[in-house]
This record gives sequence, C-alpha cells and structure tokens, in this order.
Amino acid sequence: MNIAFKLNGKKTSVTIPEDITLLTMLREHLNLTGTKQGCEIGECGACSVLLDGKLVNSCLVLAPQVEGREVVTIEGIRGLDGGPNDLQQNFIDHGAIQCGYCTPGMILASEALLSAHLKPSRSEIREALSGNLCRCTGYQQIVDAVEATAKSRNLQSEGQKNNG
Amino acid sequence: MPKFAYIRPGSIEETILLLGMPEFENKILAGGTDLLLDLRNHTSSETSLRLIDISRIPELHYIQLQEDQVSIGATATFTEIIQSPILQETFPILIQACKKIGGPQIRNMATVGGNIANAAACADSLPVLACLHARLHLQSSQGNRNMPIEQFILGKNKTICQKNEILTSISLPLLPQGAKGVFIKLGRRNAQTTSRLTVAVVGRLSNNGRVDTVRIVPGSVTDKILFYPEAEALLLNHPPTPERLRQCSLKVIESMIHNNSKRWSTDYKAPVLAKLTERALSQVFLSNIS
Repeated sequence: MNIAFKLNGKKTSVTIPEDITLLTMLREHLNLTGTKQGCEIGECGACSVLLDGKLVNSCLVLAPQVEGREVVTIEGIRGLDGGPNDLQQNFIDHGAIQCGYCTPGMILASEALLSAHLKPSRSEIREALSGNLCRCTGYQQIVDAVEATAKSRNLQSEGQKNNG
Repeated sequence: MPKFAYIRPGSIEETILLLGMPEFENKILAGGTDLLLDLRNHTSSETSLRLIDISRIPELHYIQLQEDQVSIGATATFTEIIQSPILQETFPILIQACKKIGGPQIRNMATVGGNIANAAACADSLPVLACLHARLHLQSSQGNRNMPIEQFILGKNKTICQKNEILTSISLPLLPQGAKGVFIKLGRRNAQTTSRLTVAVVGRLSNNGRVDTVRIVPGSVTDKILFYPEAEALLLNHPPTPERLRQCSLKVIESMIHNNSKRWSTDYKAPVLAKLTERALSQVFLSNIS
C-alpha cells in the first residue's frame, strides 16, 4: 500500500506492506536507522519518535497508522548548521552518552518534554524519561543535560523578550 | 509478526459492518500497545487476520461532562484523560491511577477502552473504574447495550463483548458531594511497571462523622473485578477509627482468599493487600489533605 505523511518536515510518500510497524518502515524502507530497535515490546523507548508532536514507541505503531500525520525522528533533530542542537550538545558535554543506543530515544523524549514544559523540575524530567531505558549512564547525566538545556533555552527566550 | 490486513473505518457504523464480515479474523486496533504484543504471539489460523483501526473515529474520541455523569469515548488515551480539566475536577482518583500506567509513550497511545476490552488482570484502570461505578456502552448490529464494568469482564482477557460488537464509551456517575478517592499501586519499580497489587478506595463521611459511602476494589488480585461488601459493611455507619479501618482491611483479604482460594502468591499478597487497603482507607477517611 502507499502511504503519505510528513517526515521530519518533508512530505513523504512510500509504498510498503501494510503489516509492518512504523519502526520497520523507518529503518528498512526509508533507511532512517537513527531510530533504534530495542525490546520491540514498548518498554525500552529506544525506538521513540514524535507522532503529531507526541512521544510514541514506533515499535507499537503500525506504518499505515501514520497516513496523513507528522512524524519526527532523530534525523529531524539538529542545529541550524546541521550539527548537534543545544540539547544534543548538552548530552555530549554532560557525559549523557556512553554506548549511545538509547540516545535517539532520550533526545526525542527530552524534546517532547521541553516543548511542553519550559521549566521542568528534575523529577518532571525523570518522569518524562521514564519510558526510556539507559543501561550505561545511570540517568544522572541525562537529567543534567536536559536540565541545562531547559535553563539555557529559558535564558534565551527571556533575553529575546527583554530585547523585544 | 503474522501477516494481516489493515483497514481504518471512519465511523462506528462502518466498524460494525466490518466486524460482521465472517471471512476475516477481525481485531480492533485502538492504541495498539497490547494488541501489537499479542500479534507477535499470534498463531496463524485459516481465516485471514485483519486489524480494524478505530483510533481516528471522532465519535469514539471525547471526554464530556453531562448532567450527572462524565462520558469518556473508548479511544481517549491515558494522556488525554490525565490532561482533561473535566476529569481533573470530577475524578482525581482516575487521574492518579492513569498517571501510573506505563511510561509517557504508552500513555500517549494506550486507550481506556483498550485497557478495558483487553481485560488483563493487572490492568491499572479497572479497579478505579469499578470503584467509580463505571458503565460500559456497547454497540453492534443488534443494537446498543450497557452494563457495569464488573459484568463486562468475565475473566483474564475474557469479556462479554461479542465478535460483532464494539465498546464505544464509558460513563462515570458523578460522586456524591464530599466523596474522596485514593488509588495506590505497588509495582517492582516506580516508573513503567506492571502492577503487583493495586487498590482503589472511594469514601465519604456524613455530617456526624460516620462513614456513609465506601467502595473498595483491589486490582491484580483476581481475574474478575470483585467488590467487598462484607468488608464495607464493617465501616458503613461507623466512625472510621484506625482500628475499624484495620478490621475492614483484614476482612478484604479474608474475602479475597475465600473468593480466590489460596494460591502460591497468597502468602505475599494477603498481608500486603491488607496494608495497602488500610493505607488507602486512612488516606480517604483520616487525612485532611483532599
């Protein structure tokens, strides 16, 4: 079947079997391998993407379900220069990446949080990341990176208000 | 995963027509968080499998305050329930329970109708919905029917819902003025965890300080939803002294063992459930924090 949807801001149309997951479509039919395949039972969060702005496990969404909707994957998250954005840079700076397998999912879960909460507390950050498992870092550094990003984005938006 | 066909009807009527086609083994897809797991264990049969995606049917997707009840469309997600100002106002206990379900990703997808229709023994919304006297509304080509949630669930993953029938909505009668609800969940960790035990309690004190409403529904204990009228009777029309709450909790486990008979897990579950029940009762009747 053919499905049309918006992928990382671009209109996309792809012909796929109807009985595959969004995860399989992204990785095997669109060659976007940034979205990781982990547990495939919706527990680890490695396959997290944004569907109409909401964080979902792409292993539990069927490809035909995204018809007409908007999907954002890790490939759609980057700085203006094409390099890491502020959140991704903070992950690097705070040691929030070790093996890196959970990182795409962590970044998307963090972006989902930051788009809804300007000033999340540490416990709100932990709650927002509770569907994403990381076996390396112990989470502390990830929470630090998200917290630092929230602070700097707030400073920026307050700075813009003051200037404007 | 097995091979399957996928179809997305636009209305309840169309869904019922599709469900009535005997050449397919039809499965309803709402949030998919349980269904996709079940599919991976699906054993192929002769009839071809077809998923009917109801997640985008507008008439199944709402949360509405009506005169004396709140009506929730079957495909409302747990995130939508948690964020609903109507439900935050009317049933904080439901919000409390839904926040404990899965992680953010699961809550963004999973639907309340799916949680009910899948009828897992550990489904987190069931004890609270039963405690709130939820009625379920079903529709089929034969017409509509509705029933209390405890009559809908026949056992583990078994419901009264027929093959050509669909759960369309859940209605919750508003609680009496001044009633309070508490939900406690015990899992192996705080986040994203399957319940080991849960308990939902709704209660109210009359003006003279006696219990005039109490409903106790434990979860993850029995395959069916059970009420505990003998335990509730120990509290009704009495002042809620700590000793009485304790007696009531012990009666709950006595009834649980009577209903369930002893199982391998009873040595653990009985004392823990007694304590959880006592704690929930104290929070309802003895704490001033509303």
